[in-house]
Amino acid sequence: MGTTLALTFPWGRYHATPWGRNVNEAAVEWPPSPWRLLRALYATWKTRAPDLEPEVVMTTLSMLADPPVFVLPPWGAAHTRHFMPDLQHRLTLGGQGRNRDKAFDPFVVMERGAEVAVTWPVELDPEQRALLGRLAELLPYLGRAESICQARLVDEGYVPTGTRCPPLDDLQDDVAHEPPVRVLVPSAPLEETSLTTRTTDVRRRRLLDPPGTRWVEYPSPEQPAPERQRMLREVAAPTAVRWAIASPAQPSLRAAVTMAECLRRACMSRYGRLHGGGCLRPCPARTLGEPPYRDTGMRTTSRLTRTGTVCSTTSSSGCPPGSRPRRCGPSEPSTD
Amino acid sequence: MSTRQLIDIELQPVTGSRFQPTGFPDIGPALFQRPLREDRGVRWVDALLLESAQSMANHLEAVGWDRAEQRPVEALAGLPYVRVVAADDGRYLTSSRTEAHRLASAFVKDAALDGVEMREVLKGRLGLHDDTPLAPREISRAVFQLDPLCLVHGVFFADAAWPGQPKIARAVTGFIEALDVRPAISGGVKRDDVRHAIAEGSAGAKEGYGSIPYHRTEYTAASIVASLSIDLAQIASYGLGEPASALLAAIARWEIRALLDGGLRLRTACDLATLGGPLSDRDGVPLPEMPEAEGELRRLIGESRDLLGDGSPTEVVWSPRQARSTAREAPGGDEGT
Repeated sequence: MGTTLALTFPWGRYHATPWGRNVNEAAVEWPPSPWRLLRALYATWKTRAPDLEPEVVMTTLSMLADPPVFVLPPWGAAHTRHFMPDLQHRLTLGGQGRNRDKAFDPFVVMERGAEVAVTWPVELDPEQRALLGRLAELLPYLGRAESICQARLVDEGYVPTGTRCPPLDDLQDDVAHEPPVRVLVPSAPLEETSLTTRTTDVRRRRLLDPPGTRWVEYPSPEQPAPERQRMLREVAAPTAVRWAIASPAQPSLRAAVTMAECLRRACMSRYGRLHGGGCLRPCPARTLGEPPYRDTGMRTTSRLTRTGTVCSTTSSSGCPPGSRPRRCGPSEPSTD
Repeated sequence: MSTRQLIDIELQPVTGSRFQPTGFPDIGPALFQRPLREDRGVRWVDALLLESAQSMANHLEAVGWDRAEQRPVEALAGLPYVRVVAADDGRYLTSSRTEAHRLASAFVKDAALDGVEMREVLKGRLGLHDDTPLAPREISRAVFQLDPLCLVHGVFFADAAWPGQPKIARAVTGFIEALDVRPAISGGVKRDDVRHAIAEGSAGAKEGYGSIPYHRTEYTAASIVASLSIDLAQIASYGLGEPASALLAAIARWEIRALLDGGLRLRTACDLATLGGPLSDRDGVPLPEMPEAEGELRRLIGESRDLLGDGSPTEVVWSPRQARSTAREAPGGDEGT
């Protein structure tokens, strides 16, 4: 049956940066690192339950050194960015030296109240279960301090819901789980120093990984596609060319017309190169004195859509011989 | 005892339905997807971080400080703190209540108390020694006597001069999220009725002249929720006993009530208010109204006098010369702090 802790993140967020990654890479640690979890339980003992017997604590935590199996709820990744005052903040007067560093805050998003089940393949005796249950109850957060967490030791009969995520070595199938995620776990036998080593100590010793730890691969937890994600339809050939506007500011109507004209000219140029000098008709921007174009029966219109994108479309409906070119322009009003 | 008090408060814009989220011009708002459970399963909706944990901490601290008078508000009178004054004329500079790093701020640690550098003063008060384990409860007691709000909002003594560099996490944290959001695009023009055209070589937009059109992206949301947490177990772990522990929890609740009652005008175009009615935590425990919260503070401050002393601030003296001298003498710091 094993020993299972159920972790609940009341705010539906888990903030933790994987070991070896810079926080400004916006990478998220998922599933949570078992090494981090044991360190959190150790810290909880030291700060909130110092009355517990050290020998029993270390024996219990040592039982949890093996890589556990996770059951994970649906999740997503997100991040926010902040400008944090550094240690020299406002050291100088007169408005100078407002030293602030940009810092990313990556986090995993899940349903509020969703549980993450962590199961170790060991059976604890009653004393150890009581101790672990108390540490779990007192666990304040996992990861960064805003990643508040409520943990509980569950009883026999608990059935977690979610996606099962065991260590890759435990998976006895021939399915390729690509790409796997590496998670830091404590080495066995568990050393107390691996639970107390600070990041600065690791760097001072010029080590890549904390002593007393090892990497274990887990299958990459499936991340549900957001609802708004649309499936691209297969098309035999493009029938529209569209500007993707990256800035949150939408173009003015005047700018949109200019942008559409640039796009239209680019399309015409491309079309001409592909079709031996043929052109897309009508061409309101055709300059006087330019050589006549071969009529291929194509026409183009440009419009500013309500979402702010500038769209030029081509169609194969041709103009009757001798008819005057129709002027192109936005067919929908701008949102400005 | 419950280990944590979780409070969720639904908010709404004071006027209209639009609000301006936190963000930066080149980055934009903090949009992400959040799952919502419905009858048919989980639905992912667009969510927006309206106010981060860091900003909420600033707002909670700000309600306790009277900027005009440059001192704590009346409700927090009687709680000690460190006040930094200039060496030349004694004018107020800053304090442990207003500095981003609180007791560990550059202005505090570079200042002097009765001629002794504050780095050494804090090192002695917190009992920090080389080759000696940290004593968390002694540290908590010392911090409580210097500025108890550092035990509510956290402090990190990150300086190589302090062995062990103790860190105290914040006991109250929170943020504001908006769910199921949609952008509301608008704009305007900053008009210049005097300079109708910018001639070449003359002062222009950069200097503030001329009419300048601008865009604005605000948002509407199906719901806006402020989520706050008071870590009661952490407060208890300080080992201060009663009534000091109750006082710290009361400070946190007072700050939350003061923030809600005083108006959540987070930025120019983001003015929020509660929906009205009594507020309570997830267990149904009511959040005290302001008169009750203030009364509880006064009572507990009085009962904690043995630890707080008379509550007067510790005044330390800061000079630029001392700060430069400290900078030249500082040993190499730790990596990755």
